[in-house]
Amino acid sequence: MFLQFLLLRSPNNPSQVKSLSFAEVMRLVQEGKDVPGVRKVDIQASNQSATPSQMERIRKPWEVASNNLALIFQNTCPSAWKTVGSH
Amino acid sequence: METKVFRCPARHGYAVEASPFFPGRLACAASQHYGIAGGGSLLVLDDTPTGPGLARRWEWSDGLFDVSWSEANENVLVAAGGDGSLQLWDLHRDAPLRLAKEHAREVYAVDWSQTRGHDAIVSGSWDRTAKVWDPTLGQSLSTFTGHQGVIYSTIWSPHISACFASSSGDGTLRVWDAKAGACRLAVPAHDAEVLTCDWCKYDQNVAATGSVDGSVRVWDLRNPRRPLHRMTGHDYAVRRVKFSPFSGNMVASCSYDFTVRFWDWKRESALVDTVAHHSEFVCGLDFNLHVPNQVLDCSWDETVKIYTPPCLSGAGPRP
Repeated sequence: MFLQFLLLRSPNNPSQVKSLSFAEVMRLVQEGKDVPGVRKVDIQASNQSATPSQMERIRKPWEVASNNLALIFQNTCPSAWKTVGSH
Repeated sequence: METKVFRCPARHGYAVEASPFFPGRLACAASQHYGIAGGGSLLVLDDTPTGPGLARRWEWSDGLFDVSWSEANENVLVAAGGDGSLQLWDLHRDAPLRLAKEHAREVYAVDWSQTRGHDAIVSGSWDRTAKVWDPTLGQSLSTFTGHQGVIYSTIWSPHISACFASSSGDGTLRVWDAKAGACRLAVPAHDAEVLTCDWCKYDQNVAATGSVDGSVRVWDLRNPRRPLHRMTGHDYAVRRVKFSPFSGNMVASCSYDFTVRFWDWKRESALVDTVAHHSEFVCGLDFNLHVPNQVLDCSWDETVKIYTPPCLSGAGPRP
């Protein structure tokens, strides 16, 4: 059973509620009023492992373009980077 | 300019990301009521000749602000929630695989590492911390403090293993070494909040920031006292910057001024194109990794758009 399809078919489908402007929503929230179309959904994790991958990682365009392996994959931040000021 | 549009009624788009595995697939993190109240939805769209169609949709109990695809498993993606949670989703499952609830405030940024040999997730939160996670989203591996303001963006370097950049409401761009657990660099990038940052894909020392001040700045991290370029043109805050995967010169930005702009940052007159096809804040932006010059964006106007901007419509990618 697909939870998302239940929500789409429910009478409280948010897409059927009149669209409020940003200012209208802000005002409702600041006044502590209920915002229409808001449903409480309680979603639990399954804690299952992921569907096994069946695809190889694809090289990025910059990996294909570059012949310089040092550019493609570096292990540490370059020592040439120096911080500015006392942040 | 041919544009394909996907409409998601009552959902305001915050982030889009192109799939690393499928040329026509993208994920979109969207929120109800502009992300101020209510829930959120995570959408997976597949582009077709007749336009983008919905492949998958999940609801979340709070707004969703960012999304990132796994680089190791084509079925997996992670989303960042307004309730401080990260959720790990699987295309073949209705319920999220894992929930991580460590951040004390909204998680505004999440990114999955692209470098080989390092499979990890980084998150950035309004609680001022960044966290690094293993790909199963177990307990976080490290927490990074130092920012004096909310974190808006955390992005892994595409070249340097376990290195990520962050941008913050404190006006700085920071670069972190996740293996050492240390901040390597802190750049006072703007005099206003820095909402976004990204790495150049063709020069490991180059990064860009976008700010509430409306500018995009490009930085050489070897000499961060002054930017390589200050690019102005946006009328309001810059919400996201993205370097092109196909060109070292090209960087795109989207803004609260409703536009998406394209810049050749190596040219003095950098602005190359302005795309004004939205009627609300444009928050999400990405380049397709497989289709040169194709751009994805999403906006508070309840649409996701797929297009090739005029400046990139010429034959082949720009040098």
